[in-house]
Amino acid sequence: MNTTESPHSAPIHCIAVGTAGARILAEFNQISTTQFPTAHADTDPDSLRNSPLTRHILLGFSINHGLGAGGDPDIGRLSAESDLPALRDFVAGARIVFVLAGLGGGTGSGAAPVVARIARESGALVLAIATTPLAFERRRLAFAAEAIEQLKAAADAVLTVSNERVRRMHYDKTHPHEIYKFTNSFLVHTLQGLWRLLNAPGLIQLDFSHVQRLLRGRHCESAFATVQASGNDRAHLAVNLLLNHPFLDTGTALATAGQVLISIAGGDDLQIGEVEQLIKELETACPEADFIVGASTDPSLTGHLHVTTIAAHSPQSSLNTPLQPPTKIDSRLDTPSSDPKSTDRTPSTDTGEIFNSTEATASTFSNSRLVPTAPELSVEQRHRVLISQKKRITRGKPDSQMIMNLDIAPLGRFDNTEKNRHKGIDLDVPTYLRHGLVLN
Amino acid sequence: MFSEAPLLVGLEIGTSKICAAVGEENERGEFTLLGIGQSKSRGVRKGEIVDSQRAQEDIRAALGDAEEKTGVMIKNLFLGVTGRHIACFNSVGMHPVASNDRLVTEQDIADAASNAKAITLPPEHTILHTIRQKVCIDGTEVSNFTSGLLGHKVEAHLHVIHGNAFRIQNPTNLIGALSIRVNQPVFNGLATAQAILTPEDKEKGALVIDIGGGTTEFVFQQGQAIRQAGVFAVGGDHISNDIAIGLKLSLANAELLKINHGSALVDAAILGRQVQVGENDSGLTPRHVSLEHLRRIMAVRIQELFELILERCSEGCFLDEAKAGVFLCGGSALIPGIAVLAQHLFQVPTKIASCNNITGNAATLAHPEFATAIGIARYGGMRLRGKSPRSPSLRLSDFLGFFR
Repeated sequence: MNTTESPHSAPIHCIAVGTAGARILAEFNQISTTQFPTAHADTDPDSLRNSPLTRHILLGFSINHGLGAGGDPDIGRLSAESDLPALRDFVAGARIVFVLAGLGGGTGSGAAPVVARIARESGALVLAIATTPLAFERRRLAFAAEAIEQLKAAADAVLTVSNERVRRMHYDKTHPHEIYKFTNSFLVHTLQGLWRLLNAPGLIQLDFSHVQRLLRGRHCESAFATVQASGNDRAHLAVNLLLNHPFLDTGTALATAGQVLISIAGGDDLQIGEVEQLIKELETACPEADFIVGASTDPSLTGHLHVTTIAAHSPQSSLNTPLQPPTKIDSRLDTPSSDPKSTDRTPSTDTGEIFNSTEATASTFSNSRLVPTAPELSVEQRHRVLISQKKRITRGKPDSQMIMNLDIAPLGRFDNTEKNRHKGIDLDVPTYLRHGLVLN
Repeated sequence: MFSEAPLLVGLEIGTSKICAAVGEENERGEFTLLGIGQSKSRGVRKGEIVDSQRAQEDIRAALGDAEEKTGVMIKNLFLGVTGRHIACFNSVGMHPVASNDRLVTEQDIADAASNAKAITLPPEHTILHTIRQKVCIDGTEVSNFTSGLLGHKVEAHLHVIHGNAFRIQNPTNLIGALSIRVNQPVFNGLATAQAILTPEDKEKGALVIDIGGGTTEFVFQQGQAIRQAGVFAVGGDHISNDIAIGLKLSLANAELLKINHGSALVDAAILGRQVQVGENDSGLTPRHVSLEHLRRIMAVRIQELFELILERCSEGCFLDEAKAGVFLCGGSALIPGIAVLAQHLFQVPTKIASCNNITGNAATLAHPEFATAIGIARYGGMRLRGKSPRSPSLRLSDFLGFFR
């Protein structure tokens, strides 16, 4: 793998899970100027053999005997769980990991959440970028919904693009291949925009924490779009393109957004006036929103203006709304237990207890075929487990900030007595301290 | 004689010590100090009781000490109160002369005074003293009211001292639990002024500053009027605490250092000198601190305190009118150089006060830290005398000037 990185950039690793993810990643690799570690993880050796990517991670050969996941997310998940060391090996040392997957199939839906979890456990910030299936693929849609919930629990941020949405933008006569191609190219451009945002020499530097702050708790409620414009009036053109972008609901998503992240990339001819004009015009279009603006330059973009926006709506956690019940209740969590007792455990109302019993070190199920299934849970129980799992993975970030005690001057004998204020000064504090007298 | 003259006991519950002064007054109003009982105070911070049990033990000890020394039995006493909750202001009440002949009567003046007392106090506050400063008839001050003056309008100027009713009641209850009756609470600053100011000083105008352990009271008296009075919750404790923090010492060592080497002035002679901290009886290498630092910490604190008082006294009056000067008393008045510092700041003659017009043990009377307790007892004498039917000659002065 080519691991050349610009010195100021954070190590970014990109992993595609499943065939769909690999296609997007390969396309991105073609247009990307910088190389960074990429890998294709899949359950199907055939898919890997035809993979455009050079580094391959074969998942779960001991589970599926080289037959792939067969459209079953459980197999996908178990396969990923059985090959954790290889995944860990790849994400080691990364600060940011992109997980790309097409949800709905066995490998994408099952293995992507596991990959995200492993990456996050290794200390990286994880952004999952996924596509969801078309509306007529009912069964796959249910798998995808399930997988999104799991991704939300495992990754720091999740961006999804609905193929169904793309399909609605096209005529009925369009070849199905076109739909996927369009989605892929769209994702590639977004990925490129994000990549620039995070890595390119920024005029106004943004980092992943901005993206994460924007997306935290919102995930795929966000709408995002990338546009490119050129010509004299390219700033104005770019705004028009954004406001008419189908992925932003022809501008409605921007108008109602709570926060908007804008990454502007241009060539060496990028002018500050353009950036200003662009932001001003967008500000008029989204009066409610907070703006996070980043700008960067890339010599290859000379003559063009590249704008990526992510519009996030006010946080209304989707976990608060009931889960869409999937056609098949997937009872298995992505942390199987080494405790054989839990395999035939009857559903319990106390999800916390279930969770404690499924606490297991990852090494216990590496290379093992005897991975037990997780207990059967109802929809609400699974829901609650996901919430608690989400809390658990949080990297020691406190929910609220303590109020700092600003009374740092010592009061000695007068600690814990009534405050002795006179015209805004505390007379109990030694005068020499208040006067700033230096004793040396 | 003993059966006739009432026993006057003044109790001061201070932050560093509790002091009970026992005295008596003869028919001519001359006060004799019989003795003083005192005890260390442990339950008081910044002039207010924070540990009632210890405070009660200490009050009992001080009163017991006083009884033992004077051979009397204390049944009732006057209680001194202080604390930063005590505040003062000047109030003016008006009353139109209603009678047809426009003859001003005593009733008119009393009505004007009651109008001046109809003021809005902070919630839970009660009036401690109202002191008549002057009476004006149609804008003209009448120095000594005799009936027969005519006018339209009577103005009564009062100085009102008020404080938090609960905090005044707290020590009263503690003393009540010892089966001793509290005649009346008295503001410490006012009482101190009565003990140390001679009638000449009062006439000329004097500022009395009583720097106690936890509080500093000040009273600016001119004639019978109180021009300004107040309390700052800053005292000797603060000086010791500053030293303890600044020189990183224990409070006990800081206190010792303050007494042995302290001064309110930083002079050039002490620059570079070191002093030993505490007693060298523990066998450890004794610590030395810079004398300059010690004095500088003390000087800024005392100077700040004087500046606060100066600032307050400059509201509505001029300190230049205090022709008799500044009188310092209280335990911290013993700090060397404090009078020089005060004179420099206030620009009027300053002296360390001692009790005046009082007979008794001369050594005790000379101590500035007993002035408050003696003053409370003396104030009690004035109160009893003012109310006494046997002294009608005093009625008028009571009416015009004195403490109501």
